[in-house]
Amino acid sequence: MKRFLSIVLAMVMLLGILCGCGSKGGDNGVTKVRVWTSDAGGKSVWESLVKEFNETTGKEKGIEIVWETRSDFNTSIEVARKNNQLPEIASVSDVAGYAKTGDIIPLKDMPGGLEFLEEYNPPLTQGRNIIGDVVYNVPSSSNVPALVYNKDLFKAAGLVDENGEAKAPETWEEVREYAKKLTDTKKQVYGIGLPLKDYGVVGGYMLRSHFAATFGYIDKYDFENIEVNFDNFKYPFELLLGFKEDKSHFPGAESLDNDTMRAYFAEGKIGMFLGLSWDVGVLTTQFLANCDWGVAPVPVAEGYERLPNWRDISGSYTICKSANDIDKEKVMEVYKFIFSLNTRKTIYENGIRIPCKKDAIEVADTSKIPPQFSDFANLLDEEFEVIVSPSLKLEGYKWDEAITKVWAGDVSVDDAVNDLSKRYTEAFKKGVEDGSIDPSYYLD
Amino acid sequence: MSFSNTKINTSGLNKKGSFQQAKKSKERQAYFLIAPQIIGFFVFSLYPIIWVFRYAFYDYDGITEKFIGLENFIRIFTRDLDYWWSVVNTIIIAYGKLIVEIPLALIVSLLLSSKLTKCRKVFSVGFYLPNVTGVAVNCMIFTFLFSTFNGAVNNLLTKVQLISEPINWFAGKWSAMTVIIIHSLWSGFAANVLLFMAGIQNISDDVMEAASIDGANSVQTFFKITLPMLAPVIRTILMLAMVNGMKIMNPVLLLTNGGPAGSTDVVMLRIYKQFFDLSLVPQYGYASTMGAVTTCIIGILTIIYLKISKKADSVY
Amino acid sequence: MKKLKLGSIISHVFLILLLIVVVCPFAYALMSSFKETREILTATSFFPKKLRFENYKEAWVTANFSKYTINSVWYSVVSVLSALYTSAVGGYVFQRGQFRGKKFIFAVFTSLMFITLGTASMYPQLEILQVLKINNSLWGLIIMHFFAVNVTNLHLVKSYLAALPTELDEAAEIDGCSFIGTFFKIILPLLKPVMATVGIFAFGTAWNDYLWPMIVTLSNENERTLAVGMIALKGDANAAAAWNLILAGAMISAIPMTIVYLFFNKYFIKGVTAGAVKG
Repeated sequence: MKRFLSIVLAMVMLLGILCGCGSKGGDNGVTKVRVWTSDAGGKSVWESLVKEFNETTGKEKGIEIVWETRSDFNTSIEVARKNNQLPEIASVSDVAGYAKTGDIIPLKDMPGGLEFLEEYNPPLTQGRNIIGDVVYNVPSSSNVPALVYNKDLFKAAGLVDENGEAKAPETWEEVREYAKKLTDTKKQVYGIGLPLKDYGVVGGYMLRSHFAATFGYIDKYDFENIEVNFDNFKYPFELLLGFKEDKSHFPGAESLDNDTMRAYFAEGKIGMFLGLSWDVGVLTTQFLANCDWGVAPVPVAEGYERLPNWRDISGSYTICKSANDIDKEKVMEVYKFIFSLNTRKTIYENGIRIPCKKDAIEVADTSKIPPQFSDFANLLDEEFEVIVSPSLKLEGYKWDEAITKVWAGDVSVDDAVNDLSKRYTEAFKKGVEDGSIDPSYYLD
Repeated sequence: MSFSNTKINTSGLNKKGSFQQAKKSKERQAYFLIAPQIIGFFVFSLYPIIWVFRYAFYDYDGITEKFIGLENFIRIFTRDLDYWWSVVNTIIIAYGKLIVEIPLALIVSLLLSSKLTKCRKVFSVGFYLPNVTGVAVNCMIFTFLFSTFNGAVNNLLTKVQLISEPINWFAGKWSAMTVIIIHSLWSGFAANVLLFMAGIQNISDDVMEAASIDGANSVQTFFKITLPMLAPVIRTILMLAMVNGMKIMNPVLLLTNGGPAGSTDVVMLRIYKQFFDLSLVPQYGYASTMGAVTTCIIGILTIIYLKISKKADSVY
Repeated sequence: MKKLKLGSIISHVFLILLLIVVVCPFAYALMSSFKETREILTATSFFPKKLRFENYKEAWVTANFSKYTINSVWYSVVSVLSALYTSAVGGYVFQRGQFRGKKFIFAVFTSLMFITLGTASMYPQLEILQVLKINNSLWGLIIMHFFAVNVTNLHLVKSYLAALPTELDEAAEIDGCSFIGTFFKIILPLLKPVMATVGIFAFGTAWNDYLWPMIVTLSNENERTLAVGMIALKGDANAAAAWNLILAGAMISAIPMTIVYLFFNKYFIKGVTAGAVKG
């Protein structure tokens, strides 16, 4: 009831203001609100949601959403920023940087912004959604990790439980063992897929997410002593080298990218991989999997207690300064549409993204979604504390690049870990010294 | 027809004053014709150069700039080993492929220009095909052809029993460099064939006729007539190939992304990454420094080449 | 006679083998453009399981490739004309012109070639375009290329001209032709082979140009070119790239390129009109 009333109030307010305002662009008083997203997943679903909005609420209020999916998002948004051609709403990733240059608008400066925040009440992360104590955007989804495995191959290799059902490994030691058992070069089947060409994905998503349940964050930032420690990286490194030694990984890991790896999984040539919720869409629509595949909770290293499952805060959209040139009420309306319960529920139902709040999961019609997707959703742990590490002026190679160096044998695990800790700590200290990083933001 | 050096004497036909006038008018016309380029030079070439060389002395993250003097240069000359390795890699790729590419292009262009070859158009278009699909698609195809699992090249080599186990092309520095060089050759040699053919067209048929009348066979004609007449063209093509080779970036980015583990990194790729890596704070100042140092390296190499080729010219 | 035949056979065999090697990857790309993405990525066989013409239809209609192709065509054609004009004029002026500072200016221009700033120079150039208010359209690019110094083309034309005898110029001068006039009437027709080369290169560069057209058409979807449209399909870590559409697009893109190449190619076969100055 309360929600309904507030919506009605908002609409009345809007109508009142609309009558007075002249808006920029658009014909017949229809304001075009441009949204740029870097998220190519579920493009068609978003487009139909946008179309529905444009034909109902949009028509009523004179708003037309122009939804653009840009795969070259990082480059485009940077150039748009330089060119002064930012869209009204965009899925900006460098929120801190854009906030400093004034290219984005905090929610408190938007009409109805604070009310929206209070009502939606999502989890907010320092450095991503909040800069200092100003809220710039909100997230809509969370990516959740899980071990993705091919049930048919498991059964064929005898990795089953008492009922003859495929049994997923529960510890990383078991993962290595299973990978060896699954590998059969004659049948051209391999235990695990490691797309090392996309080392950014392997490091930033696969390793980071899957080992959080054992170690927490791989890169530990100490905001009191201003130090960065990569000791948690030793275990994953050694595990990777273990796969290499066992030759239980899909061959040509150095030139294997994530798409190709998932295509081969769909073909039934790979036993398992470190998956994330977005893989469901790929395996059910883009590369329809030939095999019976399942989702299992991420393994934990032997002897360690299970910590909350990793999740990220994603699907956030930020309002850019170009909104100041048009009717801000309308931009806010579009903003609310993106994060409305209906939108989030629909995105979830179509198997695209897991919402960051369980409210959308609860009202969704699960019969529409692939079973593996709800499996991922059930692994959503709202208790996980998301920390976004500060951007650093780093000298030398990054920690995800280190994966390729260790894999190639150019540097030993210990040397890599120590070198990374040293260089990141130096850059961290420099950042705090010259004022670009404020550790107090992270210490509450 | 004779290629004598006697110039037709025009000064006697004009009065002294109007000769100066004619010369001045010629000058003015020349300036007029290249005026756009002179303007363009200052605006689109000189300004960016000054911009880059200036920021080489700063620490600039796109928002705030801080003058740090020679710090960037100290960093590049003492701490950045990866940069210098990429310079070495770039030189290996740029100069290495010349050894195969230039002679190959020369031979093909000669064959295509001679009367011996039928269906010249078919060959001509066929050799040009690598350039019609664009570098993104080309590199993707090469990734599949050289893939470890079921790649066409590995399959072929196994069939003719040259290897017993599939080669992991992208796992080792030298095998990955080989793939890059093969791709470069494959897509680049057609351009050089075109350049050579344009130069060959220039050699008048009369000279060739005179040579055959004098009893020279094809080998002698090639070495005593064709090659010397092609010399200026060859020199230009070599210089262009060397300089452009040093600028290679897209194929390396798409084929190996500098891998494995940065061992096939090339200079332009490092600069590009410094600009567009968004997980870290951008360091445009350092990227400019890299650009500045690279420019000097290429300049020095080219000057060395020009000095050597001038010597070769006088010997010939 | 026998020697001639042997030479002919060897050269043909060599050329044919080379042709096969060169064309193979292209043939593979062509076959792959009819497969679905999964088939392409898992490289199962050379021939597609079934010919998916839908790839082409989807690329042309849904992905807007029809519009992009038209943009690419006019952008490339204009770029070629601009390149032909500036390189011919430039090469002529530096080879045959006589004016103060000729050697100096040419040396400065040549030194531009080594200045490899790469992406580093993108920002300042973008600033200039912004100031001139031409940063939002392909025309801005065309203007930038027209005024720019293309050292490669300059060198090509200049060294080509160096091999042509100067008698022609002088004859024209006596007949009362101005410096500019000599260019249009006498020299230009003789430049055909090198012009054809410059044309092919200029078309290829403009047709495949991705970075700058992307920058100037960021908010101007109507002017996007084919290269920009294709790369945009590549996708990110989440969803797999639509390689089937990209390949279909590449094949569509290949057709105009091939046509242009064939058009320019005939100038090589014709050869220089010897006989302009018969002794």
